[in-house]
Amino acid sequence: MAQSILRIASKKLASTAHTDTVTAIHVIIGQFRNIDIDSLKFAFDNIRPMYAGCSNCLLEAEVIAARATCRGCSRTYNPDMASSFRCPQCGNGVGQLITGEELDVIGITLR
Amino acid sequence: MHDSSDEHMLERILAGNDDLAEHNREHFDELNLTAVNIMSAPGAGKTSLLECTVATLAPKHNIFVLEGDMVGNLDAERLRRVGASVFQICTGRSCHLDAQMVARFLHTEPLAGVELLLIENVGNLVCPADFKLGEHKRVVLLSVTEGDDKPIKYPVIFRSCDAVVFTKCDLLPYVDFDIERAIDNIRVLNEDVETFVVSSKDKTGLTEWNSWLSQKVGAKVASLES
Ligand SMILES: Nc1nc2c(ncn2[C@@H]2O[C@H](COP(=O)(O)OP(=O)(O)OP(=O)(O)O)[C@@H](O)[C@H]2O)c(=O)[nH]1
Ligand SMILES: [Mg+2]
Ligand SMILES: [Zn+2]
Repeated sequence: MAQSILRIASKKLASTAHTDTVTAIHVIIGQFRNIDIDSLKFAFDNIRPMYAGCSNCLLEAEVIAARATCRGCSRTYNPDMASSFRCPQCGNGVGQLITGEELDVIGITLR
Repeated sequence: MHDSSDEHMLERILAGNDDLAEHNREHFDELNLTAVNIMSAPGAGKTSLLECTVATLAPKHNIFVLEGDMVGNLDAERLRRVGASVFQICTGRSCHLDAQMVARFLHTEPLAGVELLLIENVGNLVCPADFKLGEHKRVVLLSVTEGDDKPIKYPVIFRSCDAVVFTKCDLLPYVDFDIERAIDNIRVLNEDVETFVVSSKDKTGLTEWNSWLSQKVGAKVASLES
């Protein structure tokens, strides 16, 4: 995962004129991705020196809360572990996930 | 001092893997084979179930097993002993198979005539969920010694699979694992999931599982003939 992020950043750096350093990469990570941000940052910090211009680059990760439509009553709710992902109104399950499955690079700061 | 520039973009982090998975899928379809990605926590019984499956289905279908392990070839050897054709991928530091590893395998191993490719992923309920391989079906094994709350703890993998196999069910009398509750926990996330209750040790519940696999292979063949 960290590799894929750094690859995207390197590509962007290579294709942008008058820059030689990536200072930050902004990613969004949905809550419905089993990604532990601390582990990701740890892996990221370990491998970033292998990518040209990325050796001091920061990973800024934002977690996006999950929102789903209920399969039973169509209400929109935040499925969470505490309620076993059930709808607070009718107890039914997760239908469509509106947000929570993001796994994207949304910005890169270059210098 | 250079100016700093903020580049706004939207690029899927796993786009590279997803594209390769798509490519693998095209290969599978050209070969007319059904690929099944089998995932679970370490030691849930993937290799044991595959041993039983190969023993029963090999006379009926041409089967190939792809073994993903971080190190060693113990599982591959076990499967060779029951007569399976096996290719081993050592993933090294990676705790999951990815589409690139499968693509490399596809470009080296002639799979002509193979109808069913069973892929044993690395034992892990987290990362394999995010890395598609190009498989047609995704199966998660949950052994009854792990607890019926696991679907709640690992929602991603249980939401994105086609079937869940409860394994080691011979141990049910000795553990507090409620199959109904576990199924309920999975269905909250995944309405249409298929479930199987098996024991590779006592050889129970395997008929349903084997017929499900067989049916997927049959459906593939039928869709080609029509
Ligand atoms: N009681 C019982 N034990 C089982 C059953 N299936 C597997 N086991 C035992 O569980 C242990 C792990 O089984 P494996 O088949 O190696 O599990 P695995 O998921 O392939 O393990 P990894 O590849 O290491 O992740 C072994 O000691 C098996 O003998 C079963 O149906 N009942
Ligand atoms: Mg195994
Ligand atoms: Zn509801």
